[in-house]
Amino acid sequence: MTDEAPTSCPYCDQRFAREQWQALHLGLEHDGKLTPAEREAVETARDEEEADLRTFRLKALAALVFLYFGFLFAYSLFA
Amino acid sequence: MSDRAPLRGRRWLRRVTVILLVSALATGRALAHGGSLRSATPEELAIPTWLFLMTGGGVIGASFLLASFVTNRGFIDAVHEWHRLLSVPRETVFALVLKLVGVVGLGAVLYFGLFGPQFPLSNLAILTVWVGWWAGYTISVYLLGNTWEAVNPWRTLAEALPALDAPYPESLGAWPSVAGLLALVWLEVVSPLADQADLLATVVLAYTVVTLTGAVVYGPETWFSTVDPVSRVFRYYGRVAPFKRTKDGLSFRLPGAALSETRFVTGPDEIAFVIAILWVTTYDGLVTTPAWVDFATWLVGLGVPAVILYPAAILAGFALFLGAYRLATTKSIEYAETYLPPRTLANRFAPSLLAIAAGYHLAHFLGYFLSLSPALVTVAASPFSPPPDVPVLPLPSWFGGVNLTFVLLGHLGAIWVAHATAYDLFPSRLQAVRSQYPYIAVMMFYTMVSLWIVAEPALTPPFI
Ligand SMILES: [Zn+2]
Repeated sequence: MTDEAPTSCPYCDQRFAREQWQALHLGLEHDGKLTPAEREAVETARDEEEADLRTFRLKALAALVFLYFGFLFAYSLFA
Repeated sequence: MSDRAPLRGRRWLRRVTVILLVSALATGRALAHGGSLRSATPEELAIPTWLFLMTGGGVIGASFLLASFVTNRGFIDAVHEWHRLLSVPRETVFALVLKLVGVVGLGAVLYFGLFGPQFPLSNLAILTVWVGWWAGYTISVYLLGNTWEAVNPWRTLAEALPALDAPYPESLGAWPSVAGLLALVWLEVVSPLADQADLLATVVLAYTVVTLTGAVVYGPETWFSTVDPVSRVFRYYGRVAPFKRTKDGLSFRLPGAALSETRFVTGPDEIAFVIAILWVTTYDGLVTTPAWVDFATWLVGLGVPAVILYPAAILAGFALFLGAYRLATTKSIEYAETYLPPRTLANRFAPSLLAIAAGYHLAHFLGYFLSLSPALVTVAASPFSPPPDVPVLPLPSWFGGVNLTFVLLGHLGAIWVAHATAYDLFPSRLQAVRSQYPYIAVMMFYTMVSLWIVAEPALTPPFI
């Protein structure tokens, strides 16, 4: 958990360490009653999340490739 | 196989294991070295133990990475919410048949345990308990659903008895069933329950007395839903299965889908029970490893009384497993930077471990059940004078690969369920992935320990 002041959801008092997560929460849980500003924040947060996910997928792919060749190498040496 | 317990199931995995993950990952090379699958044994595959263990951990890690590619919330929800209702005709008749089977089975175990032929493979009590019930029936529970409420002969008997309905101390929760489960497995490990029919019947009789007394005092509903460890094991295993009885009929979901539901595990006592199910599988194998034999001999040499060795080990290991789960939860809170209370995470992620437990059970017991079921059928046909040669079904050696597949499927199921649960808990999908790092680390460690146990030769536990 971080020290930064948490933001909390205006509708259900859940607390979040990041603004982005609060916005995502708004979009997921309170979609029906958002103000235009909140809806804007949800859209931005979703775009950011999508970009973050793309980066993560690349890293995960790299890790998988590393695992695969690591084991291939290990098996060719030791098995 | 150990001469002490020819009917135990866990030796099974050990002999056939190593074809294992190798076939899942680096197939070509390992097989080229190991010759044909038919003759594959640890020696012939010549994989160093560390590499074997690393491969197991690697498969878990790779599965987690693969699961993390599934980022579509709608898809995940659809997978977990998909279900069909099936209408079941004449359910009451079916339940009556199950009740009858249960009571007749209990009677047979008690009678033939005490008065039947005492050779294990010819004794109906031993075959019924270990092959029919603990192997076969348990498999049916996590594959098809929990029928134990109907089969449970003690429940049927208890419902015929008067009930005092004394108030059950709520603060005890599921803890008595945790203690009961640990005690039963400890007893199974330290006594020749799988070989000695009269001893088995005596234990079943003692369990019957305790269970019926408890059910009379607290009422059958309270006793079997809260205190009785056996009912709880089957209820938890039943959660893995795709079928569930609802008020509208029989509901069919994807296997394991029910594990991500909210109100299944709701407190530390129930988490402890899930962890206990997982730990006792490990304990059972751990005490037959050479390392344990050395360690136990060393301890007794130091003057530790042999009698406390096994109870102390089962408690210490359980505490270790619980501690690891708690630590993973604390770390998960940190990684996910969430303000959710730790108990929410602990409650929600515990059920996924049941998929692993079911996978290990299936790997240990399916082959055991298949190979010994002809013996069960033959002896059941003439329990008083079974033929001198009781038939046993020989299994093809590729069956070892099937066993390993079950272990892997259990882990994959657990990873998937935890993935879906994390998506349910956290608004950010990356946050959900991060929350899994500590759990995956613990799971990799657990897999490596299990594989290590499986790869070690099985010895007879000392001092018992
Ligand atoms: Zn909210």
